[in-house]
Amino acid sequence: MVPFNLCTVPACTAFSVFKRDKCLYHLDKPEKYSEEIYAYLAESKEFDCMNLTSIELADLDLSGKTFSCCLISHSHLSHLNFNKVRIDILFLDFSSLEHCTFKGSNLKCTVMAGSRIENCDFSQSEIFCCNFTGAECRDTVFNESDLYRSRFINSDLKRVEFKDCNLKRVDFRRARIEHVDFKYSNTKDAFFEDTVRL
Amino acid sequence: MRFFSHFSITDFSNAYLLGPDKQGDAVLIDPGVFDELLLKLVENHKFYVRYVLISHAHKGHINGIKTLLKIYDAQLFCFNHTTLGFPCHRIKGGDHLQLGEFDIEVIETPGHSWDSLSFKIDSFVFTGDALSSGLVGKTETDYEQSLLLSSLRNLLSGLDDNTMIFPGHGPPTTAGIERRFNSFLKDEP
Repeated sequence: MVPFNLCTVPACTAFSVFKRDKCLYHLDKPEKYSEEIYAYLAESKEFDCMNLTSIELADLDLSGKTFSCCLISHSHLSHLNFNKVRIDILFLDFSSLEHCTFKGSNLKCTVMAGSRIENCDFSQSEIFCCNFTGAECRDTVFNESDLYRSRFINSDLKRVEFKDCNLKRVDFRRARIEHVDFKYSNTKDAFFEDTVRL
Repeated sequence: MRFFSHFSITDFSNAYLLGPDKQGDAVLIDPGVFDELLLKLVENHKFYVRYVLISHAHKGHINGIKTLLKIYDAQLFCFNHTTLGFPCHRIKGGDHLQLGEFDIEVIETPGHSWDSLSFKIDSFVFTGDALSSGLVGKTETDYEQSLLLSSLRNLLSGLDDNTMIFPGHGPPTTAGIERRFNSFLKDEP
């Protein structure tokens, strides 16, 4: 018994989406599924072992909700309100996040590696052991957040603010950073080996 | 299946707890510490820690065993015959274990230590100190580094991009992320 089962279409290696036996690509009526998911996300407060890989979500208020061991990889998220969410293991890798706010959130083991993160707000949050490896961040703020043990290895950061943050053991190795503001943050406790400052 | 991670504030390592949907026997991976938080996680879900998998015998991944065994009659599984003096079921690469409802494939990933094992449980892989996001395990010699990179390339070659990787230190990752962004694994020697 595992939380994520493979799509039942032969040779498909994607996981079946939440409450279905196929991946989003192989669903007969993906639009109808999206409608169902919008309603479910709006109504429910806690999400456990939910796979929504490749979904497109926009203009949703998910504030204060709880996500535990969920997959929203390869997705497109825009104008979502994640303020004050609690997350314990969420894969948002290789996704696109635009104008999403995570203000005052508790993000533990959240994976946004390989994602494009644009105009997002992660301020005043606990961002513990999160994975931004290879992420492309633009015009995004992490101000007044605790990023303990998070990783930005090989990431590309442009116009990103880390003001007054805890950067203890935060890993920026091999990252490319341009117009990144670390004012009042403990950069001496972070790793910057081979970081390229443009 | 229920799945939880636990962070040890003494050795900064990750332990992982896998249990059934409802109460029953659970598998615990790398208990670097067995503290009140981990105990609550187990008890609140009415699990019984029946099986312990050890990725390698460095103290940050096994120190919790002594406390754990005072509470639970757990069986230990590792590369060695004993860990901290406690008898273990010796396992090696290629072994398949059926522990409770979990099918576990054992994969040898030596280099960081000679006894390093990774565990594949369906779409989850637990890599201990061999691999973490964007990095590989520490090694002492060029030979160990070569051995580690070779074993990790072998590990990744058998994994789909969406396979989730849970390391002994640091955040989770996937095989696809490591293939694309882990500089140590990009180029063949």
